Amino acid sequence: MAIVLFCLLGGLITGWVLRKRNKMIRLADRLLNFAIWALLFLLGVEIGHNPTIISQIRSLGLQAAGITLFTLTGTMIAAILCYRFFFKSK
Amino acid sequence: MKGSLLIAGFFVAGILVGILDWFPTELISLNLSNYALYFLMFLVGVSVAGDPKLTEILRELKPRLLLIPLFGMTGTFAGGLLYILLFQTPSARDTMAISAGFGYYSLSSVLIGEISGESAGVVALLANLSREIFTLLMAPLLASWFGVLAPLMAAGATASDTTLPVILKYSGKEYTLIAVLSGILLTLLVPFIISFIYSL
Repeated sequence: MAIVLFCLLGGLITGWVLRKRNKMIRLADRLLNFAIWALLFLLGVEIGHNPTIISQIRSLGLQAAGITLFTLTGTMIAAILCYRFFFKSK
Repeated sequence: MKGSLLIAGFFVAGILVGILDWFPTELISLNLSNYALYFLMFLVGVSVAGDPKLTEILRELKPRLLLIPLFGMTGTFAGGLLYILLFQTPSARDTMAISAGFGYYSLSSVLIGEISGESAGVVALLANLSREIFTLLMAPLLASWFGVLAPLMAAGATASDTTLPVILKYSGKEYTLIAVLSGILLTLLVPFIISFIYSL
């Protein structure tokens, strides 16, 4: 996992150095889209290849819905508190 | 929204190709996705640090504004912990990592899929994608029920890109900078927090 973080740090430094060169940054943004497409396609292929996941998809979907429901509820409570205590008077 | 549909399209196409067994298995065993992931992380870094808005944000940054992503993270993790107390699957570690995607479904699903296995990756994808779609669709209601900060905080890491337009519309233009700041910060934290959770 350390490699992943090093790649991120390397990217941050490169991006900061290149930040005035719009063309390079836009190229990186476009490549980023391609990388995301490629990775999700590959993740899809691995999942499609894995019959256990396909057979469990209903249960995995329910787990995802549960996690989203709980995390968003927590976040909404935090949003109310944060606004009431730190931003309301503004 | 168009971008999200395209991404979902690639994912679904991948699943079909996998089911139909059209993709040469030798390529999968080459760990292609590992290298693509390294490349992706590098590009995320370039894109965040090279963003022309970043300099402006750093200049106008007031410490108080950092409370917004901080509260957002705390609320998200509190919800995740409650989920762990009530349900057995996915594992506690997977649940926290999936929550730490903060809506950034492309990165979190790939990272979690690599570290913990494909089923956790699928849950990460579905959970974080639904967080983004929910924010896009519900932003006006969230703003009127829970206050102007609600759409921005529900957006999580997506506040700086896909959900920014609805945040502008329903939280107000004065929250643009805060939304971008909060989104960029959470985007950067996603890989760090996920790796940290799995290193525990």
